[in-house]
Amino acid sequence: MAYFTNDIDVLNFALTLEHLESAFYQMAVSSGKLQGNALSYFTIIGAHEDAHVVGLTQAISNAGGTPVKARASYHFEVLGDLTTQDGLLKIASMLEPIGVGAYDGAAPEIQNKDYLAAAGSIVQVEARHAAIVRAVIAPNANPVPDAFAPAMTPQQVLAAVTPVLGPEQ
Amino acid sequence: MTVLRNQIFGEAISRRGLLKRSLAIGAGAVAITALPLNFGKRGSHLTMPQFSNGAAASAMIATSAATNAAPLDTDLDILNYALTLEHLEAAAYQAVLDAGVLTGRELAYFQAFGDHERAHVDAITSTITKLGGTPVQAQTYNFSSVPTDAASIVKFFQGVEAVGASAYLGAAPSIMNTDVLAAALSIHAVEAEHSSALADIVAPGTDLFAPDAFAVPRTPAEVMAIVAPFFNQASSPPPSGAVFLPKAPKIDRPDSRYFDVTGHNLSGGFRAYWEKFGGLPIFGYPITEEMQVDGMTVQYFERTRFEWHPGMYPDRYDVLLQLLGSWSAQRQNLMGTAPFQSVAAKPGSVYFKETGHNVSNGFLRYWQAFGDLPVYGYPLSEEYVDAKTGLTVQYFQRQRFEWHPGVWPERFDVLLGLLGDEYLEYSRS
Repeated sequence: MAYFTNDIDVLNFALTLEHLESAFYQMAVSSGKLQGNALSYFTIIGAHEDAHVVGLTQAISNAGGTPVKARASYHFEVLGDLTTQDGLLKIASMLEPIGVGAYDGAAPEIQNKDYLAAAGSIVQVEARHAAIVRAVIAPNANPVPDAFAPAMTPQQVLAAVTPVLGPEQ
Repeated sequence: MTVLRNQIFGEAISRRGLLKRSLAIGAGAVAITALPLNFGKRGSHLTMPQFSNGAAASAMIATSAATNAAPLDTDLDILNYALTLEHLEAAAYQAVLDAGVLTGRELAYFQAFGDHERAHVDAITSTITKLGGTPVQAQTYNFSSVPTDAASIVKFFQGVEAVGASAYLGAAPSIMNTDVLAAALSIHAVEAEHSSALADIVAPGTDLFAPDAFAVPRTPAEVMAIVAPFFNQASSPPPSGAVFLPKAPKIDRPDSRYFDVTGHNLSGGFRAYWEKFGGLPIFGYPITEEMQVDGMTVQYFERTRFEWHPGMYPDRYDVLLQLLGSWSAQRQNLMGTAPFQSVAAKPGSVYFKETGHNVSNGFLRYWQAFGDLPVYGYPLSEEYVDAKTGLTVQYFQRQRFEWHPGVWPERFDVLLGLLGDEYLEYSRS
């Protein structure tokens, strides 16, 4: 049973998540709580998420759709401790796999091959984010726990993410 | 195979087709005009695996207009392409673990990732079988180019995993069956995670783990060119992929033969010559159709160019091979260098007074067994070690011999340069 009405819907679903991630990493990097490799990585990841926001927004506009906007605010505190590096890392390690699961869950519904290629090029980067964050958290543990990355249904993604979304602008 | 494919995929294809139609009805047609230019654009931060085999590295070319569509026809093709790579990765991890060089964190990662690759092999093999296809088998690989110290090994595998991820990304948009697509995406993410995790060891704190905001795909031709050194060429060598040209439609004539791998036809006299005087290992796959160049009928292959000279060489189908060894040596400004200076006869060698050079050992046996003078021409140099590639080579008028120990024992471990690819690329630039 299809969840999405069309490709624009899928892209806007992705854009909702990218806005959230972009805001999280901006907050984390400017919090002053990060240092060393955690700070370096979060800065790089944040730049990627920003680029994803721009790319998806443009793609949706070019296709004649209305790109969703970032929320006026987000409730990152419901995800965990925002006051320490460990806390921020842990939240990132939860968010990135949700991104991977979301893209992989939605991708089979994408009709246009170019959008599928674009989604693939983004989800690979989210997967890379997930692994590097886990590596920082526990370098000697296996940072890639699954042989097959789990996909998430859009319902599962929204259940996880909705509590974080603040009011629309 | 075609009939079976339609039986298996008929339902899957129409399901996806129905999906397309129902979604379109729901939304009304949406005009899709353009994607942002930076989606999947080739950036400058590509991390390429470093191979000690210079020939492999030079065979890998960043083509400008590579699309995301894989030139593989069916989902089964794509699955077997993936399985080819997974077998290779599983074997590579096992080889490194067997060598016992890794410790600590590196060892833990390699054990886990090797397990993953084996799981991928099992899953894809089982999927192909369920779909009625024949899964490719594991090969015996040539891992002589894999480094032997721990730090270099980790760096090498970081690159290999990145290639694997780019392979899945390149193939995914062509997959028709949504379940197969879901499986491919699930594995794609894991290969990327492998690469990223290893990057934290190789270059911590840098962007090596994710050099681009939008990951860059590779075509099967590009990927197979990169992994070619790992495959022993006793079986059909994988295509070089160095020249990415549009495929031609198959000519339907009894005298014509079509190569799916590069998408070109081989017919008539060129075909007869190719089959009689060496075939795939000597000349490689055709990389163009027959064409007219400077008023001559020619056809490019990976390792040479055929020219038709009507009436001149009746014993050899009037085909002449271009002097690409000479061309390549001149292009690299080698002709005046030491190995190319004429020398006296050496004992134990065959000496060619015409050019003043010796041929001996494995290169001599190869030259005599696999084509002799008409195919290779006279030696232009002595045997020497190419400083750029580290390979032991010898130039002949028509070809370059390269010694790759252990790669092809049946052919004295001699591989021929991909000079047809080089020449075609040069002539199109």
